[in-house]
Amino acid sequence: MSVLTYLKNNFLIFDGGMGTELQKKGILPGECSELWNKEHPEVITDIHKGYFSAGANVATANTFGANSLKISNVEEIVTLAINNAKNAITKENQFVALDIGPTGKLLKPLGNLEFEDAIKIFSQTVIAGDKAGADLIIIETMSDPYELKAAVLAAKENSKLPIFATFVLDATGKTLTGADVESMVALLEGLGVDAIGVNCSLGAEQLKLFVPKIINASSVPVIVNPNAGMPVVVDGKTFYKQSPKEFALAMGDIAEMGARVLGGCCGTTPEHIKELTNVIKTKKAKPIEKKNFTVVSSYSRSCCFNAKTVLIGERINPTGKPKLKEALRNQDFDYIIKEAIGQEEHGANILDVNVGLPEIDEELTLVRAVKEIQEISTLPLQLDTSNPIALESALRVYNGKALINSVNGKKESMEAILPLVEKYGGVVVALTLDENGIPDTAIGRFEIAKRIVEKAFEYGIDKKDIIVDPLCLTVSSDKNAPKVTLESIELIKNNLGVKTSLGISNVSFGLPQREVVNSVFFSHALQCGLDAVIMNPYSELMQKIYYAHNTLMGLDENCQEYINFASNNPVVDSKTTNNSTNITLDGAIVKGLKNEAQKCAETLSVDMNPLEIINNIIIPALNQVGEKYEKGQIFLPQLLMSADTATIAFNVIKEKLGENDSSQKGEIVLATVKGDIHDIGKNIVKVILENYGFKVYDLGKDVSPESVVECVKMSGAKLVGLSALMTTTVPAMEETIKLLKKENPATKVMVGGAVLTEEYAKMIKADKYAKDAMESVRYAQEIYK
Amino acid sequence: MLPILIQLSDSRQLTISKKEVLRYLGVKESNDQLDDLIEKAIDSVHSTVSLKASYIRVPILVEGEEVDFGFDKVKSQSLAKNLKECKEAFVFVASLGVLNDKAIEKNFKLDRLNGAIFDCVSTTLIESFCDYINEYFGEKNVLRPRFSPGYGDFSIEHQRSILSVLDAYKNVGITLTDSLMMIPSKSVTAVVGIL
Ligand SMILES: [Zn+2]
Repeated sequence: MSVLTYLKNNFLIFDGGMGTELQKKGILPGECSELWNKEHPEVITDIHKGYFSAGANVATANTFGANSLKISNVEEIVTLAINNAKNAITKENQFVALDIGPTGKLLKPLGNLEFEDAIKIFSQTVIAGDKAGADLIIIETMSDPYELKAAVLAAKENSKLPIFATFVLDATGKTLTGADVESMVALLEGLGVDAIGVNCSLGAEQLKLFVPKIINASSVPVIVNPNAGMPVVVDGKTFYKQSPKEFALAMGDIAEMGARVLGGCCGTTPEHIKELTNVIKTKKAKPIEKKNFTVVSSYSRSCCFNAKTVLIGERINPTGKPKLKEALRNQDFDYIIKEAIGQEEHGANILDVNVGLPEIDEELTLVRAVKEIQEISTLPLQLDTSNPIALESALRVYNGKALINSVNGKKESMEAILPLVEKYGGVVVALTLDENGIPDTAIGRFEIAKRIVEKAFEYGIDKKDIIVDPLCLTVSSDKNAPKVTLESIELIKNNLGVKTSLGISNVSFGLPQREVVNSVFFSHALQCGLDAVIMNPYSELMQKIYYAHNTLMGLDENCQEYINFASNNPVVDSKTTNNSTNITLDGAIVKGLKNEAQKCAETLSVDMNPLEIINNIIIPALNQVGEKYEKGQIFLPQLLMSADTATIAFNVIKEKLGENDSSQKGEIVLATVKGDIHDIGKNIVKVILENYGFKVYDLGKDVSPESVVECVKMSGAKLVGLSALMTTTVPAMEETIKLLKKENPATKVMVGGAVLTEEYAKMIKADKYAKDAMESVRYAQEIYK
Repeated sequence: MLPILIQLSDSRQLTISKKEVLRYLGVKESNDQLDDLIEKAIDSVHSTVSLKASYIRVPILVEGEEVDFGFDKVKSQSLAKNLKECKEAFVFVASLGVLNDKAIEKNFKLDRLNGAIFDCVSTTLIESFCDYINEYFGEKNVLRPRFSPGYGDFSIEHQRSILSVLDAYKNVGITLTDSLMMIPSKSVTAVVGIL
């Protein structure tokens, strides 16, 4: 009988800890336990035997850390480990699991291990374990969902064995990256894992609190492998180790909640498993219920499509947005990140990401955009592309369970997109169009939706993972179009039982005051039960409608969300606001008043030469602030406040300057040196330098000497600024200076950062030690005199 | 010798002193505008942190300029001076978690000043969490002031052995880069002598 068949009607009992048992047999602290598979095979087999005779069905092979980062002979050790476990088998329904633990390195962007490298590392272990004859793969003790995804992909791509996956929760029920149980289940179910659960970190008594959440979210068997109650102090209260009896008692409760795979982790012994087996004997395995939630997730949160309509921010899509187009052409991801954060602040639940422009490489750009946005924003993303290659690459690196936009009723589209949904997981948006175009009746659109749902089922994609977009044509070209769309929403929702989504803005194309039309249409669509809307989160009118609708429909407890929204967006009386504009631009910059600076800059730039504004007003104002800062009359916060204000004024004026921008004072390359991963100090220097009219090439953090030299050559910069925060990275700074002086001897180098001093700077042959942002400006002005 | 975990689920019970934040910001005199921004940052920092720590209590041997912790020997005049009369010490690591790092970056991208303030508020909070741990240790012991790698001549190299003995990745979620930086950045390792 295969392990999955056995699991259908029975509890599956896992073994307990390996480490504790090895310690009893004399392994020394720090000794590599995986090597014992080779040096003491009989000891390992004995430990497995102990667990089998205590009643376990699964022996977890001693391969937890058997990866190429820790040992050199992965294949040999994994093969021996699987054999050692197999040698312990005495009867039917005893299985061997290939054990895969974390690499011990954090993946980018949290740490520095590349996602694809992690997949390679796990793949090696999987291939060896599969070949050696394991019955299943258990991926366990994962605290970073991204690493877990890498391991699952490695398992799926290199083996057909059942995959069990467990993650680690802290006392608040979250993973290391802040992911809740619901988002972890969404991720793992999306990836097609056969059993899902938690292990380690907490004792059975504490884990018990989170088990119902996992069971309520999961449609596959749930695994619970707690530790033996390691000593832990939670909010000042100490929890001690559990005895085998106490452990088994809590596990019995967990079994009654509906968990199906039960075992132990650190500190548990054959005695624990024996007691567990005894307790379980008296219980009956509960059937596993299929759940019907439509959920997408990021590494840190989930978004469930239920009563309240989900807001999908539409701003990261170049159609009709010249500024975004330009940012994409220049690979200016800061612009995109700002759009992401801005929409998040305005209440978007999901962000649409579309970077399709004919002149750029969509695959590379979409992957980079996904990575950059996920580095900052915790919102789930909607990957929006018609290019299946770009979609696959983006789905691969996406950290979580994505919303995929889109598939349609064309054969070609279904055959390209649905296999990707099956492999990587995700919720897919299905557009109701096919080879014959968009039907002009609701029933026609319903038929296409039905066909897509059926085809998806063949790929093993459940209805809950499909959201139908009945499409919305412009009212100015067809007066009945919006009505048909609204009818389609109701028809599809009620008769197909799937969720619906709609892009709103198209409806008003070609009309004046589009926001009014969009908003009324939005209100109608909400009334029809639309589950998700792709919209502009900055539209105040739509926001007002959204919050009011939720309140009126009883979706807003005590009207709290509406009240919060209203108090954050007070009605502005236009009569009173116009009085305060007595301030001048330089005054606004000195005082750090952003709104006033924007208004002044707009007024001035109507009939004043932009260069004159910069040179005669902004720069002198900044100088005034800079001098005060240097004299210690004001401090960094006030300096930054003025700098940010000046940036706003610059942006207004730069639009007037357009192409022939002759305000540039010179080029400067800035970088935080290799190995250094904090760059806030450098970023402050950047904004101040930009304020003073310098063109800054910002290479970011952890930058190699070669990249700095390359950028200097490309940009022709005469000055390089390097920052280092740690004594351990100053050598990298020295190396960068050395290479610069060799390759481009004329380049001047200024250095700064917490650990540097005048003396230190001299020692590593820097041309200038800049103690703060203002000093770097003074030096840059000297160089570009 | 297994490390013991400390978790604190509500960071609001720790005080974040505005004066300390101003000190980290390098500001001697505040104004209403700045005060307001700092208060907002203090209010919002709590939802970005997950307070965790891991510690062990070990016997130590101080001889001349060397301190033997069992799992590591440290040559450091300043540390040996700090621990001179101690036979035992607590060794701990504490962190605000990776989401706080992301929040700092996010704030900075939105607005540099708010980013800088949020950064300093976070620094103040991790120090305050360390004080909380110290108080916990101090309930039944008389302690020396805590001492961290990087202070005086206590080399930052030792962070490696400390994180390893505390199983810091599994317990607290901390890793070390090749250049010995801790991720998340708002993490502290320290030694506290027991008198
Ligand atoms: Zn464990």
